Amino acid sequence: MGNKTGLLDDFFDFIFMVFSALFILFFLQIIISGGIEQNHRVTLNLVDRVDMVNDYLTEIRGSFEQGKNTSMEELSTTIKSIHEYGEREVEKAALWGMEK
Amino acid sequence: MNKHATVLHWIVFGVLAAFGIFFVASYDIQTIEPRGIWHLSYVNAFQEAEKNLLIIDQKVKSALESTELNLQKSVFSQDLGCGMYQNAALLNKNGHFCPLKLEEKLTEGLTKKLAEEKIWGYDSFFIDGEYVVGKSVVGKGSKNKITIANEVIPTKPKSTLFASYQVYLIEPFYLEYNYNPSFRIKANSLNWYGSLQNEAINLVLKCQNEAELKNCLDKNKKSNWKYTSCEQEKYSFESRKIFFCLASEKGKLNFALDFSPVTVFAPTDIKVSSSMEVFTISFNHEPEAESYKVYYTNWKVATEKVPATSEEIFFDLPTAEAFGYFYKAVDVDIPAVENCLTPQVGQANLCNGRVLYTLKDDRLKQK
Repeated sequence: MGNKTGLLDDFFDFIFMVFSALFILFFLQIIISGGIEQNHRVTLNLVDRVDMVNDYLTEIRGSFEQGKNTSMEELSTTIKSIHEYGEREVEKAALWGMEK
Repeated sequence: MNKHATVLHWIVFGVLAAFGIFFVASYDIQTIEPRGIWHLSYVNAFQEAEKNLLIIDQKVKSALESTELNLQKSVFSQDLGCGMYQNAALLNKNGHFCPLKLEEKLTEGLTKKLAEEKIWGYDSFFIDGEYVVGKSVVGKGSKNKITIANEVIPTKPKSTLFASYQVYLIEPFYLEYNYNPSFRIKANSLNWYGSLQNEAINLVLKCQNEAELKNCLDKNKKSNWKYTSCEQEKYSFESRKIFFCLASEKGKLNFALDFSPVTVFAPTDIKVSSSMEVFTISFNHEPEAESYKVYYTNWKVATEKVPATSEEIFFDLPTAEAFGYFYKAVDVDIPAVENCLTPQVGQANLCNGRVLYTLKDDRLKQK
């Protein structure tokens, strides 16, 4: 009888342990994959920012070749505003994970 | 369960709980580092360099435009080596065109301008065709640097209760991107002045040996090439050096061309009169001529052979004494001072642009 109770007790302990492990791993998976996805969005936004600056520089270089000058102030201000826009997007991307 | 089993049993739980607590505790959204930031920062540094190169190009272009403007004012106001005519440079002399020395002048002006504008970084610059090239030797000369100070590592805004500021998205790392601050800018004036000189060469080649210079120039010169002045065109018949004013997109340019012929023109409007066996020959004086040679003969056939050289005309002159034909050449020097009196026999006078020469030879019988 005593052995039977002990066996049942061990069996429930085992079931409890399996369920606990499942829950913990499930929780870890959510944290890790959420973080990766969030980083992925931040990186994509930064890549977009690089593309935007690249497009802008190409356009200005094209205008320059055709004889149009762009002031240094305009050049710096535009690139800065692209960066700032990018930063806002990066922030949004970073918050996206939390909002989710 | 015995004691050992209980310890093992709880160790498993303890390990799992430790993992769980560690991940939950260390998970902080602010410290997550997005991937590829180093690479993106490198691209950002490259873009920053591109931006700087564009700014250098623009500065050099402005300096070049300013130099070209100065060049336009001075290019024909100084002697190019062919002399001056009415305060404008003569582009040609004695059958050759003097070099405009544009590259030399452009280089000199631009060196000064770049120093004034403090555009540094290149090691040397030179003219390559119609381009001005500033070069810095890779691995040797001056370089420009992009580092993290140039804000190439992405940042994100961070706010506290009291302030908002930017923080690096990742911890700053060592970054240095070197680039050579070179430039290559098209100098429009080099081509433009080259074309102008070619047009001048063509015009001189077409018209320098034309006696009727104005007719030739009117026919061949470009419509924006004006005689004497861009506003009030006036052709001067005084000499074969012509002052031009060129109205162009570069403004007004004054220069002169010498249309002196390669060979002296033959005298025109030749007239012969006789009185008392003295012959007076008169003809228009060619300004370039210093002296003339007058041939005369009693062989009438010679008149049918003109125009030709003396050798051609008298080649088949019957020389037998019995015929009595002869020809003779006399040198006629032109006096420097005009004198409208009839000259003495064997002498010449210059009167109102015409040469008067008197000749007497008993062998010439007046009919």
